[in-house]
Amino acid sequence: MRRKIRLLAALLALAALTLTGCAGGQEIEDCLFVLAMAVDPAPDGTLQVTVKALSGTQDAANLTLPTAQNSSGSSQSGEQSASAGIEQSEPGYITLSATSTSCLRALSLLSATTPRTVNLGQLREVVLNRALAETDAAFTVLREIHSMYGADGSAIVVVTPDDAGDFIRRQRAVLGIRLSKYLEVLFDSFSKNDVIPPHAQLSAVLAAMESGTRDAACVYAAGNAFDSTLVLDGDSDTDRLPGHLPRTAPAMNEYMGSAIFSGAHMTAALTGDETGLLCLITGEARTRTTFIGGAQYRALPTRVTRRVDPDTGELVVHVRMHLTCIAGEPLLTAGELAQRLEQDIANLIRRMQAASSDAAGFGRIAIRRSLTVDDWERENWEARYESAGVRVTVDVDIT
Amino acid sequence: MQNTALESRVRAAYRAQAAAAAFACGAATFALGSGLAVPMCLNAAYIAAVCAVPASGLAAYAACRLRARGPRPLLLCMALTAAALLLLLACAQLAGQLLLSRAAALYVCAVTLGGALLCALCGETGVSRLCFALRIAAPVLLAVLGVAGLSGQWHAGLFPLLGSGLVPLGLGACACLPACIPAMMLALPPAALADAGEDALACPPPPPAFFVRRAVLGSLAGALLTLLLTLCNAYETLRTLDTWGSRMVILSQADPHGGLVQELLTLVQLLALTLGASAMLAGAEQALLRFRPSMKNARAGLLIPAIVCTAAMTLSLVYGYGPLLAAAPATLAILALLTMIPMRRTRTI
Repeated sequence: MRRKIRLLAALLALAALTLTGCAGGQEIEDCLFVLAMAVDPAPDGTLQVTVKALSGTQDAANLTLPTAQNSSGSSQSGEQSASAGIEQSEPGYITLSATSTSCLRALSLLSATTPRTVNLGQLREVVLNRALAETDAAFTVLREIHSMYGADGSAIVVVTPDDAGDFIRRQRAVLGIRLSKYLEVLFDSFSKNDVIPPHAQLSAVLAAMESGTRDAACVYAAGNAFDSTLVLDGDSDTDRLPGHLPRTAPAMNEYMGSAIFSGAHMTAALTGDETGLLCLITGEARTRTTFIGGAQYRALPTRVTRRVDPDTGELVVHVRMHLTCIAGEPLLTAGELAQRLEQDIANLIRRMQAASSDAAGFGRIAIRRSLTVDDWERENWEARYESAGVRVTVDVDIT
Repeated sequence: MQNTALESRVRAAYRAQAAAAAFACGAATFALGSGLAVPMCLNAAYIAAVCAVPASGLAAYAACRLRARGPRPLLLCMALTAAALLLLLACAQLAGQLLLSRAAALYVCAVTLGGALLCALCGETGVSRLCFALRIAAPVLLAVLGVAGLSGQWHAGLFPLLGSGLVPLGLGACACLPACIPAMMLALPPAALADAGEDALACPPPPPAFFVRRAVLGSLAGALLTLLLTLCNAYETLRTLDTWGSRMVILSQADPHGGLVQELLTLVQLLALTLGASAMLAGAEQALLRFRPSMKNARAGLLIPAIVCTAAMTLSLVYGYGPLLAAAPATLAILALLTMIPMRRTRTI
């Protein structure tokens, strides 16, 4: 018995030497921790990748200014080029860019020129230029950075009509907190107000792009360099796309609305209000206060039922809301409010149908009637969805 | 008093052995479910895996009946070695997918084999006692961590209900049936009783329902783990998962709780697979020692199954695990049927 114990102890000691180790380890100083990444289409079909990362001591010592012009991504030798220097737009962070035929090659170029290994494990944001998002290349880019570079699956995917590289250059951490925390708080705050779509994380967007039952919806954002205040028309300030609000904060980027996809490419953009309705009909609405017709209401958890009528193929949505007026004078009755919401929701769904985007996930309800994959694929849901009628009923109680 | 103490000792030994068989049945159900049923049946793979549950119960019952008449030790050794190899391959594929993703395949296989052999060195008694100690904790942890890794849209993974269709579902069910093989280790008395003496061996074992219940529960845990697996992804995503390791990953949310859930879940899965493989290796050693009692002193009983597993895993490094995985259902099924034929009783005049 003692011999067995000694033998086992010796084997365990040997295992402790051979089974452990740091052969696969990486020094923190050897990694370029990227917090935000932007991808733009460049001339000749190449891609320009811009990253905002934590600066290291070495990078701060090698800082050469001005380099913004050098790193604007003009193609130098043939197809590939990397920035000649490093921009430091704010203390603690650097911005680099590279142009190449693919996103992976551009990231490899960045690793070669830094020279630190690009690490996307702390990525908070991926920004795509709208022109790129409207092609199937968007899926390829996102898939590459997720599976080949191990990008954090909780990074938020953003689409912008501006230059994506300039978009992340404009991003600065405010209130003295670090940029990574700032971005987390930023997206969480907008999500609580239902002005950005609920499942805009990288892993969720990729899953939706691959799925035949639901389409992806990313955050839509734009820059606003406009300093003077505007008097906006209309009831709701969020009933517009970003980049057109009167700027009242130091941040120049506005996050509001959704970029909705059909399969792997973007087909339309929704305003902030439309995004709020999308959150409502998918049961993902988080905000409990709303302003309607001059009054502020608090809403109890809303009951939403969605189904696809098996006989007519209509997309049916029923919403039941309980509102309590907490400020102002209500100008609309419950019936008028319900009618307005019915119209708005029906318009939203028709808009998504016109864009061939099932971002609300009606496909996930329709698939339940099919027993096998072959039955479902024979249904040709995409064509049925686009031509389906829409029936919305809303019940509102105001107390 | 002495009889009571002996009886409780005997019962404890059988409970530990049943726990080890349950672990191994659950691990084998999950390994075959993820390895073969998922590519065939897509999101209906859990239905195929459920078919292994009654099979495990039947195998446990057959093993109990066989214990009285004596199993064919060499065939039993081969069957348990084959089952151990299946679990070792599954463990290596999962370890290489997440925890050791940058390590060379050879290193991953060596670590997996080394871990299982270290556990099996304790003999069937040690492995069984460890399985008994973890019999509640392991399934509970798997359930809690697995559910924590699901997204709010988990129900989307259920549809279409029949996945690829009835024919692939039937084939998947047939592929999962041999997951009952580990229950055949119950055909041998627990090694702890052999050490305790002839009186212990002479004590009557618990009734077959005792072992059937445990084998069924173990296999059911493996089937539920396969269900969790299919709830994580839509059928389109399952179709694109072309490696065994990626099919064993139970996670649909992006890094819940900073990746802690995924890390812990992977560790528990690996532990279950390793313990299952160790139990099979220990059972194979015990069967081989019955065949050739002279091997006991040299521990050759464990060495021979270890050499077979090492050779097979080396081949899998060269040719891929695909051929071995594809051959597993037929091989295990044939060995199971042959093992169930009891030895002839010798006539005494």
